[in-house]
Amino acid sequence: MSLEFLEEVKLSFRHELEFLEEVNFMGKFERGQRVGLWDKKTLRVPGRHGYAAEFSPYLPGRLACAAAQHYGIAGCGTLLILDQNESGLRLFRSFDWNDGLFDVTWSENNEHVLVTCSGDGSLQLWDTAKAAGPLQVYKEHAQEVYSVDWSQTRGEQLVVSGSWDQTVKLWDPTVGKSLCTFRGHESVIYSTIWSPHIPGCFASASGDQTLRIWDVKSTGVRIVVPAHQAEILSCDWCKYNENLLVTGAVDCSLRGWDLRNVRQPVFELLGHTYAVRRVKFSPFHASVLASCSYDFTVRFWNFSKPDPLLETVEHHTEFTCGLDLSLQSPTQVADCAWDETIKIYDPVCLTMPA
Amino acid sequence: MERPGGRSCSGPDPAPAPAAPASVSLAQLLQLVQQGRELPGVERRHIAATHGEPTASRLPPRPKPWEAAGSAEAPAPPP
Repeated sequence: MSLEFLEEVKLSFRHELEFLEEVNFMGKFERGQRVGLWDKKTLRVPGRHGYAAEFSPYLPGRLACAAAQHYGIAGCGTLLILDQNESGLRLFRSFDWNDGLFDVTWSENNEHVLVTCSGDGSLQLWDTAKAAGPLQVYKEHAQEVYSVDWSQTRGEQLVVSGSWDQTVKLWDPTVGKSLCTFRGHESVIYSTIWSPHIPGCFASASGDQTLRIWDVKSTGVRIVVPAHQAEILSCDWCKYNENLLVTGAVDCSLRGWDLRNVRQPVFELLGHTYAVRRVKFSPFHASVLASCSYDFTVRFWNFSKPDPLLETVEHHTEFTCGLDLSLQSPTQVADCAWDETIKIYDPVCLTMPA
Repeated sequence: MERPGGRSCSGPDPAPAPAAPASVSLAQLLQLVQQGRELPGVERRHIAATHGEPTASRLPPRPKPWEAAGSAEAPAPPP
C-alpha cells in the first residue's frame, strides 16, 4: 500500500480521525451502566465495522447491515442480511464488495432487492434470494458515496445517492445510468433522504453546514437551510408532519426544522457529547426520534416534552453509526457500531405505556 | 495531524505490520496509518456485477405505519 494512498485515506477520514484524537486527548470515556434493556439480541461480525442498519419493509425481523473492513479506511466491504429468531440474530446471507459499504436501502417494490453504496464511488444492486452478487454496479460518483435511499412515496421507485464529490444523483435501478445530477452543496454530502409524503422531494445534509430540500421535477434546490455552524452528518423527515425535518451535526446537537419558516429551529436537542452520526424519526410516534453518535450512545427523544431526553442507551464500545426503528414493531430498534456488533433491542422508553 | 508521507524522508522504510490480530482497534489502525505501515489482513476482492435479473417479488408492499388509515391524525400515543 502506497504512502500516498494512506495519506489520501487519512485526509478523507477527517472527522473520524479528529474525533479519535480528541477522544484520546480527553482520556477514557465514562461508560455508564446501560439500564432497562431487555430481550437484546447481538450478532458479532469479526473484522467488520458497521456503518448502516435498515429493517426490511417487507419481512418482520429481517435486517440489512452495511459494513466495512478496517473502519472503511482500507479493505473490502460486506452487506449482511440478518434474521431474528427466538434464540437471537442469525446471519441469513452475506455479500462482499471490493470497497467499504457505507449505507444500504431496501427496495420498496421487491422484498429481495436492496441497494448499497461504497467508498469506490459506486452503488450496488443486490438480490437476497441469490447467493452471488451484486446484480448490477453503477459507478458514476467520483468519490465515496455515503448515502442511498429508496423513495418512500408510492408510485415512484427511485434511489438518491449522496457523495463526497458534493453531488446527489438520482437513479432508476432498472436503468444503468443516473437520471439526473444535483449540484449546489459546497462540501461532502453525508445524507440524502426522500420525503415520506411529497413525491419527488428529498433532503440532503452536508459538510457545508446546510440542509437542502430538492425537487426532482425542477431538478433544482427548493430550500437551503443553514442549519448548524458545523458539518451536518444526518437528516430525516417526520412521518406525521410533512413540513418537519431533523438534522444531526458535529456540534453534538439535533435541530428540528419547519420548512414553512426555517429562520430558526423549532427544537434543539442537546445531550450527545460527540458528533451525531445518524438521526431517525419514529415510524409510529409523531414527536419521537432516535439518534446515534460518536459518543458511543443511542439516545431516544420526545421533542414535544419539556425534558425531551427519554433514554440513553450505552451498549457499544465504539462509534455508533447505524440506526433504524422497526416498521413492524413500535418498540424495536436496531443499531450497529465500529465495535463489530449489530444489536436489536426494545428500549424501555418505547415499551412503557404512555 | 502529521502527514504519514513525511516519514519517508526521515524515518526508515515502512516496516511490515505485526502479525495480524483478530481485530485492530481504531487507535491502533490510525497509528499504523500515521507510521506508514502496512495494515494487517487487508482483504482484497475483485467482484464484478453478475448482470442477473432480480428474483420476482411475491409479496405485496406493506403500508407504512403512517399510511395506515387515520394514522396521520392519530399516531400512537408517544412515550
